[in-house]
Amino acid sequence: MKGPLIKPLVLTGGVYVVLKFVLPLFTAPLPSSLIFLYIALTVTGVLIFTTLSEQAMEGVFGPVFRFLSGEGVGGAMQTARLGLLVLFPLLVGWQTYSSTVPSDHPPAENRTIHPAPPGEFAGLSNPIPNTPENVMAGKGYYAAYCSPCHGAKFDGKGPAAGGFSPPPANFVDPGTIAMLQESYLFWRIKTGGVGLSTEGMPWKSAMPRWEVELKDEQIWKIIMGEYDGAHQKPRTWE
Amino acid sequence: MRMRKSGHRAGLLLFIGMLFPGTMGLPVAGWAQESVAVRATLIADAVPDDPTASAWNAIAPSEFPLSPQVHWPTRILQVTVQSVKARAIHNGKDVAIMLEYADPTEDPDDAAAVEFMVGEKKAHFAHGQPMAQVEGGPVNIWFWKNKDGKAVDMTAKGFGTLKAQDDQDVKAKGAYANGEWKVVFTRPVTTANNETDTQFKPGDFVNISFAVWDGKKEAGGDLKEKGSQKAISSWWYFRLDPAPNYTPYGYAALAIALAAGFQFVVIRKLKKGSST
Amino acid sequence: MKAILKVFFLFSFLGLFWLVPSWAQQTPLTPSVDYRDVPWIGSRNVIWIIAQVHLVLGGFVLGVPIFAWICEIIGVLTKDQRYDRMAKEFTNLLTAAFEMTAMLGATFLFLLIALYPKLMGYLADIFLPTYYVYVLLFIGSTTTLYLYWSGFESMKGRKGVHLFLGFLLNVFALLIVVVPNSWATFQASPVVLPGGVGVWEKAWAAMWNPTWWPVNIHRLIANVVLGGYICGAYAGIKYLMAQNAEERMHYDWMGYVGNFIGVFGLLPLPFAGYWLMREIYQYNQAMGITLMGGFLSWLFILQAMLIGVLFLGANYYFWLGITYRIPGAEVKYKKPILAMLVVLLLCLGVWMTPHSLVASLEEARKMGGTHHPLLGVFGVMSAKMTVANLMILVTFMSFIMYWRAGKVETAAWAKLAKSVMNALLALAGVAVIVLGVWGYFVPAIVRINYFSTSQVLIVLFVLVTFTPLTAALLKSAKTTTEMVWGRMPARAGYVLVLNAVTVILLMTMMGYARSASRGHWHIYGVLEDTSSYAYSPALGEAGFFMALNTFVVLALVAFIFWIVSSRAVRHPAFSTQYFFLAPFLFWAVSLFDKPAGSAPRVSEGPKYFRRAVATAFGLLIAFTYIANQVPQTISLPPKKVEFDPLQIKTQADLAKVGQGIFFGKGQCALCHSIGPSESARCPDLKGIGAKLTREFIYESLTQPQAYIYQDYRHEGVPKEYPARMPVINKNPIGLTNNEIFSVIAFLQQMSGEPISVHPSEITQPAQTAAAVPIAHAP
Repeated sequence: MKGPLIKPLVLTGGVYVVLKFVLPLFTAPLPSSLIFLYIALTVTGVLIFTTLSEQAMEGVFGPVFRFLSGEGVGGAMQTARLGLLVLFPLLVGWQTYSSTVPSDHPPAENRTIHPAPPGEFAGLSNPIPNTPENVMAGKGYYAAYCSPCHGAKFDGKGPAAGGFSPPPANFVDPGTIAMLQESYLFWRIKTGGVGLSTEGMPWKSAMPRWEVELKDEQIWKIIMGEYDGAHQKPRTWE
Repeated sequence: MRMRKSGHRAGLLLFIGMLFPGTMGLPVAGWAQESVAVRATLIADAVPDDPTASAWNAIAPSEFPLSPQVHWPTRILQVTVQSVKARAIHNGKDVAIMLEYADPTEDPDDAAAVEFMVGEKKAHFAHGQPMAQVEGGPVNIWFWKNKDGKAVDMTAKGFGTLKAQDDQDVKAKGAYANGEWKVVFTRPVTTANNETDTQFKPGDFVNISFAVWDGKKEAGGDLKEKGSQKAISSWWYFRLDPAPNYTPYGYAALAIALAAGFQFVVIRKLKKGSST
Repeated sequence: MKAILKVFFLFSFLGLFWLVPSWAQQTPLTPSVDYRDVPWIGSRNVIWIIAQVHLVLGGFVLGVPIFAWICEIIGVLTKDQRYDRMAKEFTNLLTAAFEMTAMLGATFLFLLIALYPKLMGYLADIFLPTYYVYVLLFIGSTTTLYLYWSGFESMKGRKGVHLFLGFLLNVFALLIVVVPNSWATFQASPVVLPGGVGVWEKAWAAMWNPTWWPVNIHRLIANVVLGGYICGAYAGIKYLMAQNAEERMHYDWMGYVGNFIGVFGLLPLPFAGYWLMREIYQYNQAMGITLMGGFLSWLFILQAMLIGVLFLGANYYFWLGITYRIPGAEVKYKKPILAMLVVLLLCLGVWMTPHSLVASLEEARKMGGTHHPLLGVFGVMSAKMTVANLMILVTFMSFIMYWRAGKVETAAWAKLAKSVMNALLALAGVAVIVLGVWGYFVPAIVRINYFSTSQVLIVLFVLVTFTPLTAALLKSAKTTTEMVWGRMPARAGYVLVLNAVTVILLMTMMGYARSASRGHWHIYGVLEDTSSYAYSPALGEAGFFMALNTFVVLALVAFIFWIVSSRAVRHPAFSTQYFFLAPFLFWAVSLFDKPAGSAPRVSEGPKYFRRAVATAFGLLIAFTYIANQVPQTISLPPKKVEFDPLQIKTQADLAKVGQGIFFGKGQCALCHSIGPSESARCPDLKGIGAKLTREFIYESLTQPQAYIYQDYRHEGVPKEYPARMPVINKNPIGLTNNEIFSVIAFLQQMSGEPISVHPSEITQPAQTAAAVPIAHAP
């Protein structure tokens, strides 16, 4: 178990440890799907690199095969080998068990955060001129109607946000309103959570249907205030 | 030479085969349980309908944060109760759900409720209000109020449609101690009303959400929270634990045998391969 | 004599195609039914399979002439006989492949007419003249194909003429893609077609729709890739099954050329894809979001995986080539290969990280949603564009490294050139990354128009400067180690097979994406799919069909190779339209041989063939499995809303209905935008409600040519689209007065004006239709 073989093993293990245990020290833990993806890429890389030439292959797989076949293996290694040979079927058995047993976890939900808007909203444009007064007015409406959930800092962490799943959108994140046109926000604010299509899971969204309470003009102003406050620019085609 | 090669290939397969289950299994196993579901423990005896029953102590609670109801006017932006703990027990016939939450004062108008979707259609958590692009279904609400001392089994499909059902299947009992409410709802696992009552099936996850009202009277005599002014959660999951099932062990045993056989063949091939 | 016979058969076959347009003209224009179904499998699935298989085979048939022609030119230029031989070997395939594609095409067409009469009637009404053009092109293509094919022997002494024939063939082949592309792209991005214009003018207007050329270019490049990789796979299998050293050398070399041409096409493909995506976004935001952020976003994660396989496979093959074909090169190139591999994997990791992650509810609660606070930034376009550019750079460098391996530059300026190249490469890499990171902090439009384009230009600059520079360097270089052909390990052959399967799978996947992005429309926003198949299936089911279609294509291609390369050589007739009879005949003949008990063949060929098939199957099964593991959503058509006058109580209600009509039935948004738009083909209607009176708007809609409002001037160059304003209350759009009023109300609302149409003006069902003359309105 020396030489070329040890590096790929250490590398794969190291990537796993970093993703699984080190990264969560600094940020939110990664979902297992992502860890699996990155480990799969690492293993693919190891396989590609170690099969580039006969010598490299021999260097890595030779010891593995000798170890597995038990040839010239003795002492502690022989015990390790037997242990592995027992462990492998058990691992497969455990995998099978956990995939056939009725799941203890609720069904995975994969909500599309930005589903496509209905056609009649996609082509709208903001009729309100972008003046400082209008932006200010929009920020005022935002503070009154939106900030309880979306937060005074536009980060989705308002005082009323805690109980909702999915959580309110974080407008500071470059993956939200910065990717969208103003008309998209108009649709989302006007028709609210219940206006979403199936893939957006409208039954889970707490977003109010603001068309009941606000005029279109107010909504457009809120949009301007929101972009300005979150230091984002809407997607445009000019 | 050829034999050696085929041995190599088989060995490679084994190597990859060993690597992947390991990497797939570990991340899944490593997750700590975060509350996203209430799981009703299966017991043999009658389910406890009293919040003080000792049976509840054996069950770990799931905790869910609450928010003020903002979805619909009239809304308030501050609520007393910030989170609710839930436990559940069932015995195949009856199910009991206990809510537990901190409320500094005991008031006659204190109230709590749980809500479920009914049937296959999805329903919005705000009383199943209509959705623009999805055909929604009704919700079933179990409502308890301190001064009434009982549960009301209700149905809604959209705002203003909330009403008590003709068949009242739910019982409830509340107990206040040390600044904390404990409220137990009990109901048969299945009822005769498929249209308006949620039906449980052990092993299946259904959606659940919670609501709590602090019935404290403010200086002016108005209630602090009432009607749509309440603390709520959006949808989480609820499940009755299924009766033990041993078939997965059978599959696992089969898989172990297959894996061992595969391993045996591969190693034999490897040995043959390296000896030529 | 034989050739004459063949041409005769071919033309009699083509006779079928003459019938098609006239049939299409007569039957479906007054269809008795909108749809017909096929029991069990369903009409949509039948069309799906046939259309996709036809399209990919078509791509093969059109890609191979490009491939063969390029090979022939290289052969003439380098005087290397191998290229000429390979060009001929592939042209041999063409006759059989061409006829199989034509047969599939005819089946496809007949099925469409039978199963989707409503759609076909609509299309035939618009595109009829192009059908005639298409038939003419088909004849031109067939004729040049046969002449080019037979000319390999007869025009040996006149290479110039033969190359010109090849050129003509490719021109015809290109046009034969371009014309049907206009039909398909019209379905995705239709333009408004006014009544009362000539059939040719109408067809031309419809052809010239916004995604026509992006798709043309994308498909053209993809066909080259397909041709290259199928050549590679063929060579790979032949290499594995080779009986002697000579065959091994030849097919090793052929695999190298196939992979090279495939990579050559692969490098610009993402740019073409980006352009297409951009046009789609601009054409309709909803369609763009459906593709990239909405219903189909997971498809693009799967696509990223497949492209990952392709990039890794192509590079792996280059690297294997260096270590095996150039003795002693392994040690020298180990470090650069490792560096390139690491960069590729890092890029792939970023590329495959989705914006919304697959996470259990527990995981999502911990992350605070399905966006990861740190890795979520990999999910957006800026990151994807950056890594795609880097991957292209790395792959290109793999190729350059391979090219230079085993040679020592002797030119005096070699050292300088090399350091300039290294500096350039480093600079380009850094610039691409800087632009990518910076892209997060600028408005989307700046990123799309300037940053992304700059990234592409930087990479293209590296591609076009390095290639001639390296060529010049190597011209005077001394070869230290000769390349040894025929020493590649078996896995190189399998990699070639894997890449070909991946390319076909990618094509079937993009076919689904294009079709599903239209949602429940046959023709987006114009002709609705009202059949029971109007929904888009979830990725799991779609993935199965993609894999199935790929398998059918592979089987057909393998079949064509088998017919042409093995036995049919003895039976030239089988390389024409009877080729599909060959296996049955051979089987029948072999029945008599069997009792004789021939000695078992010693060859290991079949074993390798089986393994290559297993490789292909393995990928397809793995793909289907993964497609079933990602989130499954079916995209259903939305609930239908009818114009109900009784529901209109306020002016806001009226404007809301008008909004629906403006973007829906009225088709206004096909040309007009509200607010500036690059893709708008007509005046911008922003503020129109404030500028014009309602009477004027009404007149503009119902008598568009009566009076041209002088204040309207197109900015910049006048557009070529003959997007004449149609009479809106006449066919084909035919809005009622009620509907026109509501559109006016909507336009006034969008201009921030008080709405001057009152709900009481709406004709109630009891009243007669023409009751409200506009002039008497208050």
